Amino acid sequence: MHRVLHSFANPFYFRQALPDIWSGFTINVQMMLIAEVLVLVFALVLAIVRGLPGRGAKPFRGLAIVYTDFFRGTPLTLVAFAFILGIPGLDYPGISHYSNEVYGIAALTVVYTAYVTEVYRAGIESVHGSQRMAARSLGLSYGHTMRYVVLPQAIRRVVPPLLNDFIGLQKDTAIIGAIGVIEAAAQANNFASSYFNFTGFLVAAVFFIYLTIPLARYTDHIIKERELRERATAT
Amino acid sequence: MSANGHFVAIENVTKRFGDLEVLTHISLDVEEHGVVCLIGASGSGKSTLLRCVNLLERVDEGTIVVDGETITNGKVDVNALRRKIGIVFQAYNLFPHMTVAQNVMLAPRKVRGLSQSEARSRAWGLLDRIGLLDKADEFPDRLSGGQQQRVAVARALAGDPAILLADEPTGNLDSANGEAVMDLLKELHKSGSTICMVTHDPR
Repeated sequence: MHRVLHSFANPFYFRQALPDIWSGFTINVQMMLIAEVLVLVFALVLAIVRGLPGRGAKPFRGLAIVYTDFFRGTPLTLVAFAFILGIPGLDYPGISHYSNEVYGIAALTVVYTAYVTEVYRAGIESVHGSQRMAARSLGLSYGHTMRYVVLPQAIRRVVPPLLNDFIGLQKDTAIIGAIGVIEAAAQANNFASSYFNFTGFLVAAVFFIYLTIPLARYTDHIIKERELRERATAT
Repeated sequence: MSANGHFVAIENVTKRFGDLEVLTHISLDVEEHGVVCLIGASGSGKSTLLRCVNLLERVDEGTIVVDGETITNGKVDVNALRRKIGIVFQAYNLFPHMTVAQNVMLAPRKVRGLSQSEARSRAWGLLDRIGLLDKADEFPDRLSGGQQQRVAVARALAGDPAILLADEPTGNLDSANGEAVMDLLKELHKSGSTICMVTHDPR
């Protein structure tokens, strides 16, 4: 037990590792924030495309389905390898000369967009058909019905699962570190190889947990508040 | 007005959902400023008929003429038609994320293109008429069923429709609330509105 503590939770090494891992962690936060914003936007667009009515929209619906099927089925690690190692090798002007961090953000965005599209879609489908019917019967077009009636209700409903996916995204920034961005997990690994001590991993874990716990509690809070409101309405 | 003087003329309409024939050769006319009530057992297709009139459902056979325009030939501008027709549902179907005033203002703003202040004064006039001006800034879930249904009537009227369709407007309401909604509809009829209503309510 003493050896375990010495190896993984040594106060001396904890302090030693802190500054480097903290600076690595700021890169995790950066990747996470940029990817999250992009994911929110792209996934909403895809979810709307997937729900477009009519025959003319069929090819677009099909493309959206292929996209989500492909990237939901592909491990993030593969996509990240392909982007970070593959794209610079193409040597295309304009896309091949960014930093690994940019390709990492792109990989996270591409994969998580597929998940979040499904979350949005579930939200859109959960809005009862009678709401669309009421909106259309007022003479609102399909676009206006989506924008003013369906989406506001759908998005409110999917906030908890969205936050849940973002906790996942936050942690998966560490996968990008394994492939070529010096973020918190990579710094911890460097530390371990220099000092033969693994306390750096604990430091990195503390940072990640410190970020995810508030999000998790906030998610609980929203769910609870909604339950209370629904119970008040049912009386 | 159509040639034969009816505002809505339904002729020989048949509607099927798969194997189930819901409407079989139905004909019905609604005159301008008139009230028509459809009464019948549950499941006999009354609501379906109303939905056919504003093209929420498509008929399989027969024709429907609204305000002189045949709407069943597939060429009609659906959104333009729906502007002429207000509809009130049994379950109110108010938009829960909008206040009462926003519910009433949505169609005037987005369909008629009225300015915020024009739509607002219109909504306030209607809310005053249904006696719920003090609820303008409440959300629908704070209102009783009867109040919600009156708001639904105001919302349908906000687009200034030529005819009001009501699909069991008192079906979910207790007798006092139902009476308030029926009184409102009677008053609308007196002031010249054309109404076509599905109901089990003898009032």
